[in-house]
Amino acid sequence: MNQSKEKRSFTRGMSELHTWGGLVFGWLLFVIFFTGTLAVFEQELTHWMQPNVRISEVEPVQALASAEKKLRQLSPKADTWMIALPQQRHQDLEITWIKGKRAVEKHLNPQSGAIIKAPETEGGHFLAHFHFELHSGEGGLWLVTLASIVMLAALVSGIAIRRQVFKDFFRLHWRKNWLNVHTMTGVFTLPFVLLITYTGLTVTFLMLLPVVPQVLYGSSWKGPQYVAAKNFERPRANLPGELVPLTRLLPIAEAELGKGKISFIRISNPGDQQAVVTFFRTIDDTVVAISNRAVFDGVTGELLGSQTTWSKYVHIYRSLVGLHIARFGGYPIAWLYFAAGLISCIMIAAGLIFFTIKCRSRYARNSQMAQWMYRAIEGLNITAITGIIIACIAYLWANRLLPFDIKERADAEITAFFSVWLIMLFHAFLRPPLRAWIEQLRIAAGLCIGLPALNALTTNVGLFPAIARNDWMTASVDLTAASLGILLALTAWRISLKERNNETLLEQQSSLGSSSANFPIERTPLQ
Amino acid sequence: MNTTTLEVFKRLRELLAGTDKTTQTILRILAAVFGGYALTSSMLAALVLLLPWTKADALFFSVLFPPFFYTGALLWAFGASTAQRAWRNLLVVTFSCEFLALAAAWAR
Repeated sequence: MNQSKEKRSFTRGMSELHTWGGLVFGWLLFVIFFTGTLAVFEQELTHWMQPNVRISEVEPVQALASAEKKLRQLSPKADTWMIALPQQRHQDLEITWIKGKRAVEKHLNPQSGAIIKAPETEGGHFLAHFHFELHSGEGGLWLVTLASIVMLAALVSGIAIRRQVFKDFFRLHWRKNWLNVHTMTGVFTLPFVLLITYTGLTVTFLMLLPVVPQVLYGSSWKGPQYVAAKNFERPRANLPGELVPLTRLLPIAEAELGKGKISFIRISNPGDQQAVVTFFRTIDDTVVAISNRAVFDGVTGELLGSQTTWSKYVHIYRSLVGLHIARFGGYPIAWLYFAAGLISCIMIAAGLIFFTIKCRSRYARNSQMAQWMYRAIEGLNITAITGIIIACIAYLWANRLLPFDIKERADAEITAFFSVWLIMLFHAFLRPPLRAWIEQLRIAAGLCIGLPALNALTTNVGLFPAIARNDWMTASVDLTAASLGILLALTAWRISLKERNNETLLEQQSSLGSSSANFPIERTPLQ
Repeated sequence: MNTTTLEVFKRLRELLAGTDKTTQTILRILAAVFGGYALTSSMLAALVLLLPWTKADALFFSVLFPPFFYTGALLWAFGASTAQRAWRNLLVVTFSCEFLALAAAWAR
């Protein structure tokens, strides 16, 4: 054996990594990036999915009074109470009480304190969760972590194998083929993808890698939050103690943390002598995604302490988290992340499609096995790209179409998401690839454009009433869905034009009497 | 050692020394995933034990590195000229860090 033949160059290694790593994880990465992009508007989606929770703004103190009254009335003996006060992008008042392992959550009208009978839904939270756990716990978390590492490696190897892309990009050498779409969007979103993947990985690694806690803390490890924050919690005394009115503590907490900035309150052991009340500050106006807090004795109302400064490294780490979750800059930043996320999705999709085209031209006349593999890749491309888009929009449709009072409605919506995705998988394998692309793009476009209509027909928060009431959180979900629908419809139209061109080409060729083996495979439909 | 163990050992050696493309790629993938995990873990352990800081600072500082370590291992596994060399490089660094970590833990 010739030894030098076995050794290979660095560039070839990088190319192999980029191609195969990109292919195998590209499907997963598209799914992660797409659901993550939608999760930027997690709160808006949740708001949209709870059409009967529409509340006018109230003073925090009034909301707190309503919540307190309801909690004292419903669950005086709970272990923990939690109150999420109305915020700008989260208008309802949520109360939760925990007794043993059971947690109950209710939505209240902050003005009257009445319980709102909201249909159960996971809302945008499902998408946010799905994008890092794939709905399957720690296994999903590992899979997403590996995919993200491959993403980082693919960025490095992508630059290594095509160094001239930067030159092409800035000299505007833009050509209209899938490789160029892939590299140009790749260069354009490089900083964003690096940022989002790196920050995401720092979060998942802290959750997954046991080595540092093991080495530093051994069995006394309880979680990073116990290391970062001062602990004011106390064990239960099992002696009754009257809980101080929370509304009396609110002004003191606001003096500590900022007026109107309290977003969350936790009461441990209410009704016990050792009750502790913790006020958490919102993180919606800061990059450092960690809540400053003020802690009170629940019986005497005395301020036990507060934490508004954090160690340097906690500060850095939580800033990275803040940069990932994109809550710090309000809507301008949210839209920036959304747009960058969508372009990154296009980058991943274009890479996958380019691979398939290359694969098709190289293996099309090869063995049966190669053709089968190519068919499977094409099917998975369709399922991962258009399939996930359809599944996400179907999730919103399910929210409106499922009967209001069926049991476990939130789970039913998630089931709808996965069932639709599965149907799209079958569809992608049963139809000829190009037809499947066009049909799925059309379904996606139809569902997106139809969403405002569906919303208007099934609820009273349709597009025009919502705008009239200045409810832009609802209206923008409708409008964004419709605009994405138009983009999808245009793409479907473009591809169907190609299909028609191809058919005429084929006809011309067969009328000229040339055999199909001479058919120029490089000019395949999606190119 | 009896002959069966020797036989198994020999087979395994042949397999690990494979130079055909499939074996090489499989060995590289294994090196990237498991070698990467081992490398990241040992480098982190060495890092936090060598830093003369408080535990909390070391913990939140160390969080910044695993993406670099793991991605580096992946690139290294595919960039090396042969899969065997990739494994050797990864293992050498892993064990060196392991050794450093143990020394640091012992010195504490």
